Amino acid sequence: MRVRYLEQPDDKQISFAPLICMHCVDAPCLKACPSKAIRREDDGRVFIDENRCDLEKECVEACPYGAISINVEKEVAEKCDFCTHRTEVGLAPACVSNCPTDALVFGDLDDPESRISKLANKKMAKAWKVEENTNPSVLYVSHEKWMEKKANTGVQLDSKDEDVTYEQNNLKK
Amino acid sequence: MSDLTRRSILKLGSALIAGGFSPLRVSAQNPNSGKTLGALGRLDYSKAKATPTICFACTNHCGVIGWVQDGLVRKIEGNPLDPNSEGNLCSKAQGMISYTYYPERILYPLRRVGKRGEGKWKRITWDEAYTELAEKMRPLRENGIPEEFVFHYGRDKTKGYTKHFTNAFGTPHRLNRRSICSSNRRAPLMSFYGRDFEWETQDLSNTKYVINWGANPYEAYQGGLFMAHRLQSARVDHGAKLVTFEVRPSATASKSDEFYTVMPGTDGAVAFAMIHTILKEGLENKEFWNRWANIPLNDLRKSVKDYTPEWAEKVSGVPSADIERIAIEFAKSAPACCTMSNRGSAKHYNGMQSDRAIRTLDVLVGNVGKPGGYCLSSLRGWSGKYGQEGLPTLKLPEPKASDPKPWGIGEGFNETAFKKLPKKVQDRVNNFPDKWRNKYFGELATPSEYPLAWHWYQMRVGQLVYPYIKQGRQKVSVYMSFTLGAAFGYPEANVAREVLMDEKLVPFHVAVDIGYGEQTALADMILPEATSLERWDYHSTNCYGLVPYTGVRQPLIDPQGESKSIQVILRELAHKIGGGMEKFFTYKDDESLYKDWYKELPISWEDFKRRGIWQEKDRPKDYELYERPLTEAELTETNFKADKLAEGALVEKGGKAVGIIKDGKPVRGFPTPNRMINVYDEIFPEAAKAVGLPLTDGNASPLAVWHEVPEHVDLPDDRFIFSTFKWNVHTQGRSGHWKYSAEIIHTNPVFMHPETGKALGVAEGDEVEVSVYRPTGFTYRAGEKGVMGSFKNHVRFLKGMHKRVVMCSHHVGHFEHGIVGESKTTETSPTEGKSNKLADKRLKDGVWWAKKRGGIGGGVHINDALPINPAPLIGGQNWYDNVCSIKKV
Repeated sequence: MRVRYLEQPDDKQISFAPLICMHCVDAPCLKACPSKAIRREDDGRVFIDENRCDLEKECVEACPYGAISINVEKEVAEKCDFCTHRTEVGLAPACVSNCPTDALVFGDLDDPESRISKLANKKMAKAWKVEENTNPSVLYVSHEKWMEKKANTGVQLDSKDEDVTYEQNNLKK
Repeated sequence: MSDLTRRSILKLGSALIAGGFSPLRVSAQNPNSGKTLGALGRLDYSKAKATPTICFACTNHCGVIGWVQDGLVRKIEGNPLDPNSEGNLCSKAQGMISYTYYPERILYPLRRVGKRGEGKWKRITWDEAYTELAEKMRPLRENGIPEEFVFHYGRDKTKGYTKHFTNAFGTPHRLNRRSICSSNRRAPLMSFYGRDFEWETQDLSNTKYVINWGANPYEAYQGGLFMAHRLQSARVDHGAKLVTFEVRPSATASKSDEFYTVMPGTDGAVAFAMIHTILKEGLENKEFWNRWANIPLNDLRKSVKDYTPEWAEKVSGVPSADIERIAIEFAKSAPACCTMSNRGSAKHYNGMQSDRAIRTLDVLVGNVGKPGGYCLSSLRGWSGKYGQEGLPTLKLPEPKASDPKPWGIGEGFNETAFKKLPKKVQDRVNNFPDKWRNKYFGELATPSEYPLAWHWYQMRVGQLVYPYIKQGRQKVSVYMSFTLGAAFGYPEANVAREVLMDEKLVPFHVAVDIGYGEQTALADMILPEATSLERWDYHSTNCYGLVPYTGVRQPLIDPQGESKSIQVILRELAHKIGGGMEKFFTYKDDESLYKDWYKELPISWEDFKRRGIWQEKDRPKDYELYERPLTEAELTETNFKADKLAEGALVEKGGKAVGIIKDGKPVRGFPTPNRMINVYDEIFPEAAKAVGLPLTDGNASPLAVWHEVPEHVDLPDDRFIFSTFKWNVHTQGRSGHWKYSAEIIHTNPVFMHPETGKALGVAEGDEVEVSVYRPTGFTYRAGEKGVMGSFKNHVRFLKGMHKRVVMCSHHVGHFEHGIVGESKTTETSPTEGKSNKLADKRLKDGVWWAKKRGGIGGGVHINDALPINPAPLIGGQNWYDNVCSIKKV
């Protein structure tokens, strides 16, 4: 997960937004991977099979959310998979269980009776970058507008960082 | 494989010494695996072992659970049994993994071989280290000058163990950094509510209305995490309102229902106008005030007569209509309302009085100790203090070394040390009342110009330690710094470095720390300390759930390399020094010490270790502690006779008030000398008279009074206030080298409002020079003309900044802190390519933001340019008063 520092353009507010894999229903990365290392699980998650990844980095370029990065130590592409290793033993994803103010909710959006579905309706949660037609499974409440500007670029505060970081770390072949 | 690894590190050590590399930076080794941390794959929850402990990444000290797999700590999570955090956690917690496995962590005792500060070291054995140190320290003790050993810590959470050592040695010099942090805000609290309540515990889960003056619990605050999730729940679940006065859009300000930019140092004006409004509207709680405040309401009314909202608007810039409305909303929410304040209001010349005004608001609406209100909950180690009735006693096991003798003339005083003090100081101390003479231990521990820094307890004035050593107020023979970053983080840090470099002023400096940094770089000997994941500590703090609890920090792994816990280091050193000192250090290992420490807990040691936390679940919440009747047992041996004591009379035991008569019944009252809330306190003028502070200075007022920060009066248009702040992912100057935190924040641009930039003719990204001037009030080197210090940094525009304020965060810009902290590439590291590092392989090429890799680099060190500026009487550093000018480079 990357955490981005954000400023609301027209208001005197700052914020921090978690940027994770959107687990898109129409996932561009899935189509882009030449070695078929990315697959969709039965429950809808998008998953990178590290054993199949041969670091073509097509997925990194295809993702409109900058959600995929390269682990140089393991020499594989990596992204959030909603913490499979935790959910399979009954734990919530790490970001959800550790959020200090319970701002993150995890659940089944296909079930209209689930807590997350009800909350999403009530709070009018929206996907980020609807125009990309990816149909994401991650929804945001009130953040998405001012996130636009901070699309894929680097990690933080200074514009110079944004020039070098994400590109340099993940797209350099 | 593991043997091979072990051998290769020993080779590495000797190769470095032979090559004269500096400093000796030895990699953290994984004893079980040749893999790097980042390549280990996912944690397997079915194999990993979970152990509860206490986080050490900031001052909150949350209960956490560390997951260990194959001998490595892989993940920190919240401990749901912690009643403060309720299982929540912040990003800083993973910093413990960063610093434990930092490739440049110090793992072996080192002795300086070049000149001091030159960075040349050789590895020595622990025995060599102890022998040399003991030979330097022993004569001080034998010759009756133990005070020439000075122990100075940055963060000590041993809850008395280091004091046990300094007491056993005989020195009163166990110095801290309280004044850097929070003494200006603690003093008003202790004046109001007594020594036992130097920190409040608002009942945020049940509150309806919070007014916040410059506290930032959503990012960084003592108790911040505990407050943030309660406050957010109160807001989401039952519509509580949060109003914030700040100089910049902090995360807390940004998430508040209302946020007003306020001129720095004018928070008090807003609070005074709110008191004025509440009284004008008749919304005060007369019954509560008359019962518990120590002055008549009319005295308060008279004192705030001129503090109208219109006046406050002129002073602070906050619209008067809003001040009025907020005051009314606040009072109408009583008792489920509370104030909140921290450095934003307190770290100013007038901060003590501003905070007293803010504290007065809670008393005025009668929310003190009420559900949803401004509550006070048991704070420190459990030994039968106020609010700890019925709890088990938990304390450092005997034998206990006694405190050193106070300095002074007469029976029971240390005359030898006293007579070495400058004549002027001796005269001042001789004129002190007995209550202060009995607590005086020289100028480093108890600076005589700042009696309120040690009136309630020894908070000290840390930022004056180095200037005082330089002035010769105290001779130092051996200086031990313990996890202290003064050479980086103190105001005028250059003075700290200058003194530490001077071998006449500081003949021997031993630094105990987990890593190499600006402070350790200026030592003669470095002793590697075990990290918080490798050692034990006792833990207790105030609980925002209002039921006291205790926890234990316990090791998840063995100390890396040859590092040792501070407890082991001091114990072994005490035995080496000998001369009777060893008698106070009888425990063979830390676990048996802590097992005895907690022996009164009603659960088994094994069960406590498994849970990590203990709380008496059925205990009533700490509401209205002051109204609780004194029990029969508490009344024995007191002056209480059922038919004889008048309303308001004190119930006394052995000359000390333990309760007060209310409605004809003995109740506990507050732990103050008069068992009341001291809205009015003569201690302020008394201290002022003792040190020669004119009684016209606002700090001398017994009742909260408005006074302007002297250097802010008629501030010219081309001068600005320079301020600092903390980010949510960092913790003071301690976290600059934590990889994951530094990745998110590694620079500290000069934030300013776009219009400020326009007026100055600077664009975003431009380099500016910020020049800071000395203060002009009654303080250290006040009024000296000209620029005190300056630094250059780039500009970042931010709407929501106060237009007269520019500010930088203070975490980054390290010049001695390894690859991450210094934002460098590994070409400069002597370990490059030679060790099988456990740490992130990405560090092999340095960090991505390193200048050599085309990045922006790592921020600017600002603390040399910020003047030492202790508030009168109390000595808290006025971090946020600095007047500066700005020019484009």
